[in-house]
Amino acid sequence: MRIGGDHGAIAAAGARFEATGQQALTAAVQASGCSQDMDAALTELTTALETAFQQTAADLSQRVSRARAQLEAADWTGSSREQALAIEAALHADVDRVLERALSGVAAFRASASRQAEQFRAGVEGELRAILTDLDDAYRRAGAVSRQVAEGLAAVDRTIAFGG
Amino acid sequence: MSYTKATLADVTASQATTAAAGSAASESAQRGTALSAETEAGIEQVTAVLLQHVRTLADALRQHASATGAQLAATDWEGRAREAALAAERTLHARVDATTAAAEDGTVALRQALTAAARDLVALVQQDVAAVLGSLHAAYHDLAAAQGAFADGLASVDAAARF
Repeated sequence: MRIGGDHGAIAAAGARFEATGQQALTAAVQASGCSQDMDAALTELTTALETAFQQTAADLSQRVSRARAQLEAADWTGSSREQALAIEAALHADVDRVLERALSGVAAFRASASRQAEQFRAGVEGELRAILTDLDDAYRRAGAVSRQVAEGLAAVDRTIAFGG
Repeated sequence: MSYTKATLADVTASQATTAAAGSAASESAQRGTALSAETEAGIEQVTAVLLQHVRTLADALRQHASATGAQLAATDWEGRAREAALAAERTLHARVDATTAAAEDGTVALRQALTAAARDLVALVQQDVAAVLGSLHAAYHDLAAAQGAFADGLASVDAAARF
């Protein structure tokens, strides 16, 4: 093994190797704000779905009420009229059920999408950490050697200073 | 059933209501298509966030490896440990590239899966809406038909009386 440069540079190299890639990766993960951005994107997506379904349900309810009102325009009474009112109530209940089912579906979709995205993210981060572990091992070995050399050089300097 | 003041216009309007239920089904389908497109754009945004995250991490790794490699080179020393470190750096770049490429493929697959799930959800809701519209049509159709028959009868009586 041959070594050159001053021992300060070598010691700095040794210290630099201690700042491992895992630390760099952790810092990058924290800085990226992926979770917040993902949450915001999913909220925007699911809010659009919920709004659309709520609007559809509202339109449907209006349509049901309009249909009954249209039949009532002729000012009629009797069992058919009561039947129409009962039908309207039943249809409104159906619309409520449709909306409830749709909103449950949106919530389930969001939970599933969030889970899949997190799994994906964790998988990629795991792969990158594995790569870094290998690199860190190689650098740590180099750093240990570098530190030993720097310490040896410093000892030699002290000996010369003492002797001089 | 008593009927106090029906006109033919009222009956026509009632019958139009049932026809409107049919057109509502096609409106609902169009709205579903627009919603699917909007949903796909939203999913695209989710996967774009993921992909950006992966690229940010990959860049951080490359910078870390390059900075450490430069530090290593500055010490001007030789040996197996140094060679191993430099080889590890070279390997890292290749492995990070491969991981990033796989992640890009992965986001495409994830986007497809989420899009399919969203489409299924929209289709399910459309089905439910269509079922309610069908019930609406069926329920009021008979009543409107009865009204129509009754009004026709009244009109005939009017005509006969005038005659």
